[in-house]
Amino acid sequence: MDSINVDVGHLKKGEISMGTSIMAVTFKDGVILGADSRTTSGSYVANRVTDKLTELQDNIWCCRSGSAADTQAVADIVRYQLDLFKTMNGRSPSTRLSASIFQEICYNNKDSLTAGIICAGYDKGKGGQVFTVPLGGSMHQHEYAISGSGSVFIYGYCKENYKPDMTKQETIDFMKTSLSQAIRWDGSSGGVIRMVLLTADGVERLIFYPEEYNEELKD
Amino acid sequence: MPGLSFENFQRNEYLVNQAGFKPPRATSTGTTIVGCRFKDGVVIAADTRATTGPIVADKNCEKLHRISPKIWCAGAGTAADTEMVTQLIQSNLELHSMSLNREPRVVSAMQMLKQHLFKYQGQVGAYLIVAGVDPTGPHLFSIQAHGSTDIGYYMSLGSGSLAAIAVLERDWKQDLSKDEAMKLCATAIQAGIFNDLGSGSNVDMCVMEMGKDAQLYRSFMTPNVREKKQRNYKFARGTTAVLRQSVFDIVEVVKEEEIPVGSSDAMDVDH
Amino acid sequence: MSLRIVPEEKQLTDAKNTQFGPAAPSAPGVVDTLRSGEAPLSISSKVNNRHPLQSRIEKWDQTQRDLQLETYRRTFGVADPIRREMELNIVKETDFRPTLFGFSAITSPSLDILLNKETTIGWEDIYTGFNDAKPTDFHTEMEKQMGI
Repeated sequence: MDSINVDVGHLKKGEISMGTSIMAVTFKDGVILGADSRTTSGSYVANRVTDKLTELQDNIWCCRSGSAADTQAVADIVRYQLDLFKTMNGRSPSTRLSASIFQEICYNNKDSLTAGIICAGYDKGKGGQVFTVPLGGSMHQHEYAISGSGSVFIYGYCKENYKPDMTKQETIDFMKTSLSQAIRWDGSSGGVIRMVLLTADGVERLIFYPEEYNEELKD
Repeated sequence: MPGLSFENFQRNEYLVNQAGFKPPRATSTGTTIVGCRFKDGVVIAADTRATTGPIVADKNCEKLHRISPKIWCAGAGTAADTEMVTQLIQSNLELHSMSLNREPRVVSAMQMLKQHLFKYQGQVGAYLIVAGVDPTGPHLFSIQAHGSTDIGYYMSLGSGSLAAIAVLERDWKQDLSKDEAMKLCATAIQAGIFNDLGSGSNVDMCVMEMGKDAQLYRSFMTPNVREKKQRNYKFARGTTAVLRQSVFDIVEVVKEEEIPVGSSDAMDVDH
Repeated sequence: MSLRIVPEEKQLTDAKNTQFGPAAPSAPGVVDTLRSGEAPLSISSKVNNRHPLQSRIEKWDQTQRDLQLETYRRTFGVADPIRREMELNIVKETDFRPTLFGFSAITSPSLDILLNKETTIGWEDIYTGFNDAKPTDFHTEMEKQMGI
């Protein structure tokens, strides 16, 4: 034992992780965030109804993947920074700013954090926006984004089926199908599908149970 | 350095890795703890076995800790860590509520605990179920050693959590009554007691209800009462004959003399 | 100047040979073995093989402070963190300590208020590490007495 190896890419022993399927999709009226609800500790499902969609501001939310502890800590700090911004400037922070703070924190702490974030928000000027902040701490804007261990199974499906300016119902159906397939093929994704709709009308939360989204369970 | 001391880390590593010594094992609460919300309150429960490796270290330990009068927490993991961390947060929450002149909130306790545990990267091995009532209503959270938290209507933690969650998943329903919730938690803990080696002995329970004082039920259930011995092995007095007897004065008792305080003789100190 | 929320996980990659003990007055750059009171150890043994938490905990408070100051800088401009640090230094230089506190661990209430710690308590307040102060060694004591 000459030195202690710091293995950045892996979780600490016994840590709760979110092998996840998360996505966010812009549409005609705004943006929708979606996620499965499984949290695992090794092979044990620590929580089957987790809420991986976290509120940062009324109109800005994020999907978390990676280590539960790390992403919660980061989300707490970003929320603090955004609240401070709002208090000091008297106006709401933009989605891009929120994503930038995520990006900066994830980049600066990349040796000690395991966090993959999708940050999405709605504002009157820009409409719905989606940003991803993957493991290394970069930031990318997309029309839609998928992330987490379950996302690898639905890259093709999403590429083929995403259309810009979908209606609300089309987007919900698109996400429901995508996430149900991600859940179906990924062992560490599961549970219910949660969605958060951000539009000019405010926030709307949806939940879909396995009986509803899973074809095999349908009558 | 104040705080944790790492002074002996290298020595201990050497003793364990090269010199072949076995490190002492921490007493762990290989545990079953559960929490469950009901209509306007929340209840948590725990078993009472503490283990050191394969040995039962304490048959009736307390795993329910008070964080504030109406916020309680059940701890699994390293016994010392759960105990100390809740004590520290208890003090902090008290200071916080005195400073703000408000009743402490469950979310504050949860946030303090998660931030503290996050700092120690899971090395402080405390897995907690935090529950309580505050002016915003009843709350139930679980916290993992690395600092992640979950919300839920019912939850279980510890080595017996698998047995307990099975019971909770079977019997839990929305809007339980207080008695139903208590019964459900007790059944879940008993599943842990009987099916998990790390859990055993009795069921402790704490009920927190809106507008009422928290109620701690120590030994709410005692499913493992020791059987009374069938025979008494005590010898009756006089069984052994006294052959000879002699009494000695070992110490001679002298009456104490009082010396008035400030007497000069007694205070003579060499300069 | 960055938003570091947890300290860098870094082992020392280089170290001066006199970093871990005083240099001999007669031979600068050479460790004073007599004074340090231990056999000449390899520097690697002093640097490597540390508990994974050690550097994190040691640098934790400073990291959080830096994060806070950086946040202040971005929100209020650079004058704010400078002023705060100056105030902190002024308070550090004074030794105002009401006798009310007796022998308790509270070092300075003003310092606690400036650091926003007056309503919190941590392990550092309980385990103050007073026992760590090493007594002056034989050589230093003799040099002091003989006026060398």
